[in-house]
Amino acid sequence: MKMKSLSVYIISIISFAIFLMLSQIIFNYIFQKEPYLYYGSFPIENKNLKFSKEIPDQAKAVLTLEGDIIKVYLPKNSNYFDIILKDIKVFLYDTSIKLNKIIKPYFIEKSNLKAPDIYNYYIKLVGMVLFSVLFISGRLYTVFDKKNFKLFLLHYYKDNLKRLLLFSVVIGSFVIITLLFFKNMNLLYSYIFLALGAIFVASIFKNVFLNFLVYIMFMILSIFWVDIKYTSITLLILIILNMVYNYISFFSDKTIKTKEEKKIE
Amino acid sequence: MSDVMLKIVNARVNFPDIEIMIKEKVGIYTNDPYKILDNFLKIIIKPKKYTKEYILEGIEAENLSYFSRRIFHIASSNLWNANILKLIKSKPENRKITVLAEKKENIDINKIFEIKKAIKEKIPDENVLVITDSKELLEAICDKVIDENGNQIIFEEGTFIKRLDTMEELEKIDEIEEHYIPLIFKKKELNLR
Repeated sequence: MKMKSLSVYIISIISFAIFLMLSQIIFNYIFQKEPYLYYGSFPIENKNLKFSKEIPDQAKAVLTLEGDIIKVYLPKNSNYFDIILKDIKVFLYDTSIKLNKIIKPYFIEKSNLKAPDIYNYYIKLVGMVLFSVLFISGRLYTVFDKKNFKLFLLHYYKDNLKRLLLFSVVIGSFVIITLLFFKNMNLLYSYIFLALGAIFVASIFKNVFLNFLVYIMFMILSIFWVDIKYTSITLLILIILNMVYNYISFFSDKTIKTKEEKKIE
Repeated sequence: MSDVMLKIVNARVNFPDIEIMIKEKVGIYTNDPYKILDNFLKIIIKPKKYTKEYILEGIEAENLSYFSRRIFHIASSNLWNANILKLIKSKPENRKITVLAEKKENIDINKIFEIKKAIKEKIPDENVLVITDSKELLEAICDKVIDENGNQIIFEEGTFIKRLDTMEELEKIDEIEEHYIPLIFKKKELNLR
């Protein structure tokens, strides 16, 4: 049993790292072709630069030239600053030469500007895969089922702590790997919270089918619900529900009643 | 101090009245060991709610459950992801009563002797409570066996030989024709109807 979950963990962590690497390479390649929009007049031309009549609400980045400064509007929480910096430098250089003066960039995060669809799909894909690996390995190393609850009631604290530590290491390792690829994880936290919440719910059930159902339901939820605040509150509620359920189901009074019925017979 | 190590009377859940003296190894024969174990856990965690009388080491311990539950070491694959042999070997020093609860299908019959040996070596002077549907395990470990209603099940004395490969019981050792087979040899056997 132990060997089995260990091998599942190792396989999933390796394939997760490979997935992140490959998907990032593919994404960067596609994302390069996504154009930059400029607003107002712009002295240079480039196949990657497109004119926009109004300030757009969805773009990789929006550029405007104001005196000596190019203002670069970026969607809030977007994570691709490093990727586009090279292109921006090229634009700056070209503009400086054309206008014969030094042009400086000014980066602004804009909350009502949306990132391109391709970026959102990419984040969703990564989030779903992160959700899946967290759920599967977290479920294998779960500490929140009835077994562990009974051990906790019997004061096997040392064993409980060991398992909790193991669980945290497993979950933490996936988060750290994701952090290596995404320096800013704001868009991915909701997937982590919901994956943990799904583990708490699924740990109640032994049935594989029910576990799968919980997985699917939370997965769908995580795709549409990307709010850090509310997903973290949901996680807290699910933790409490899990404990309450474990407690009630263990001390449920069903068995007492059947005994009394027997006596009457 | 009396010699009673554990006494449970009139449990409100399905659990037999039981009295275990110091050093005694008692068995409960039941078809659903995990259910009985759950009831036992309820009793030791909330004795006041689930029993009329609950004595531990000669003391009325109904109100001491927070401390008294640490006396029990529960060895069951229903609680751990390990087999009972390993759980017996890793028993913490301060837990004085070992409770084995296991289903027949989760016990390798070849390991029963090792389980017996481990108990003999590690905890010869401590109490063991066995809750199982495995006749062999009860015969190997227990001095006294009751069923889940509290009726005593008697040991028959004699010589009993069982082939481990075919699970056949043999009357005499001469019946065997092959020249190399594993056997269990028992001097007492549980009389289950």
